Amino acid sequence: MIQNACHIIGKQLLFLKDKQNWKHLNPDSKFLVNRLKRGEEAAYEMLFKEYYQMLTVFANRYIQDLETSKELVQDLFVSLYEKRNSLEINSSLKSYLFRSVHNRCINMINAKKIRDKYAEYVNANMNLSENSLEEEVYLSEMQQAIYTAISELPPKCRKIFKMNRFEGLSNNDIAEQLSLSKRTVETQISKALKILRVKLEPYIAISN
Amino acid sequence: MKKKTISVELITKHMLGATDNKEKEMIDKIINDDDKSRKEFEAYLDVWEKSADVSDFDKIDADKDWKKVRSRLKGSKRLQRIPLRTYLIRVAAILILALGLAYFFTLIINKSDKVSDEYFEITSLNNTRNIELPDGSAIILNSNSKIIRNDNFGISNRDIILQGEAFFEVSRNESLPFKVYTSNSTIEVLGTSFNVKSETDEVVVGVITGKVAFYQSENIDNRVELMSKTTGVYNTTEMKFQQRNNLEPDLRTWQTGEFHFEKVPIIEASESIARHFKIQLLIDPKVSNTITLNTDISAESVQKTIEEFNLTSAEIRLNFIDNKLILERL
Repeated sequence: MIQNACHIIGKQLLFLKDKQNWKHLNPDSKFLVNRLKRGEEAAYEMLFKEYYQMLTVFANRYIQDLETSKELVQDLFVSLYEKRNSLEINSSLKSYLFRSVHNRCINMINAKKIRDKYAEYVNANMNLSENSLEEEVYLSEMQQAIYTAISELPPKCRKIFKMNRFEGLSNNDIAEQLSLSKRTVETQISKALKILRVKLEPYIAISN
Repeated sequence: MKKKTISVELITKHMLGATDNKEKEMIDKIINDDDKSRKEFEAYLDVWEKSADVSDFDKIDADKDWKKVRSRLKGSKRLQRIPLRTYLIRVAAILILALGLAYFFTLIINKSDKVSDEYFEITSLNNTRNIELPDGSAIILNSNSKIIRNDNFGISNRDIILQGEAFFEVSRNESLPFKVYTSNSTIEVLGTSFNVKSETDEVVVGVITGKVAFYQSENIDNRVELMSKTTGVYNTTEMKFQQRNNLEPDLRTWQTGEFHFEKVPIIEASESIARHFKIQLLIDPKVSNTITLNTDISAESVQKTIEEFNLTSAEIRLNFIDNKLILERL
């Protein structure tokens, strides 16, 4: 799946052209970094709101506990603020954030001395090379785009679609809970799929 | 013969496991016969699977959690470790100051007939206010701000205490420096024009003409000298100064209703606009920051601002969609 995602990295710009889905803060802006260094709260807020969900889900791939992952990312932002005077960002701010989260995950896993196969696996395989970090960042951005697209569905359609995809409810269950006909549920899910199919075009993996 | 294509409704039924045997056969047949239909089918399948993968996003509330982080950022300032000795010295200093003030006030009360230092307070409410001072200097006070001076102003001192934001046009008097006291810092000038914005965390001084000395009130050596068209920022908690070689484009927006851009790179200009209106900015990575803005633009409303902004260059465009500003390359 990651390979597919990378395969279409070139199409990302097309996605950025699509205003509906466009959710992108220029994280490499020197101005933004300077504002962070100055300790401007608004800059931290902007950065947090842009990346928090993505980074948390990214952390959760290692941590496997959503609440702990949230705290880990929150800690990172607090520490970013505390260390703002000595902040050295050589790569992009985005890579910096993902790499920091990654390092914190590894530290946490090691600190807890989880002596199971998972910890061993993480230690053996999770030394991220620049390439695979790029893949991870891409995957996270793709997921954020998908989530945003779902959030932007019409309300009724979104509710039904989420009940099925997020909560795993069957069309029967949804029809019952919302006192709708099964046919209506199916129509709404179709509608959602049609919209998402168009919006997520650049991210869709199709074999030849 | 017309080839059968696959409908989204049928695909949906398939995903939901609601197809009957006849429909299943039909799907199999269509995707085996028609390559285009197969690709369409796979695309929908991909969307279907990927959308289940993002369910965790729904459990992460960035707005709510930002509040937690924000309170910790604020807390971290207070948590700066102060050595006990310094702390005790501070406590002692405050006590001495308090006693000193008490003594001073008893003097004033006892000898009130002899005291000529009468203090004037001028407050602006919801509007800006123009103030002329006895020495010929002028102040424009932003809304919800306050200045205090005494009746010896222009005779034995030119001291102003400022709360909030004001623009100063100071007439030159080399023998009597003009001083603005605000949030632990002092701005001292002979004759110039500058803007002072004093907030809890910081004091921002933008110098329009002339030269300004900006220092910590209790430590005159902790200072910066600001030349025209530069900005000084004093962080009141860290007691540190920073200098910037430009003026914020919205420095005087509160007076003029306009952004003032002087050779500002397009990204920084957009960032100023976004910050001024407190909205998020999204930037197309293809936007080249070599384009600069060299004009005044209305700050009346977001719409008006972007309308004028978009007239400045044919290469870029600023859009306002979903309460976000979007800077894109055309």
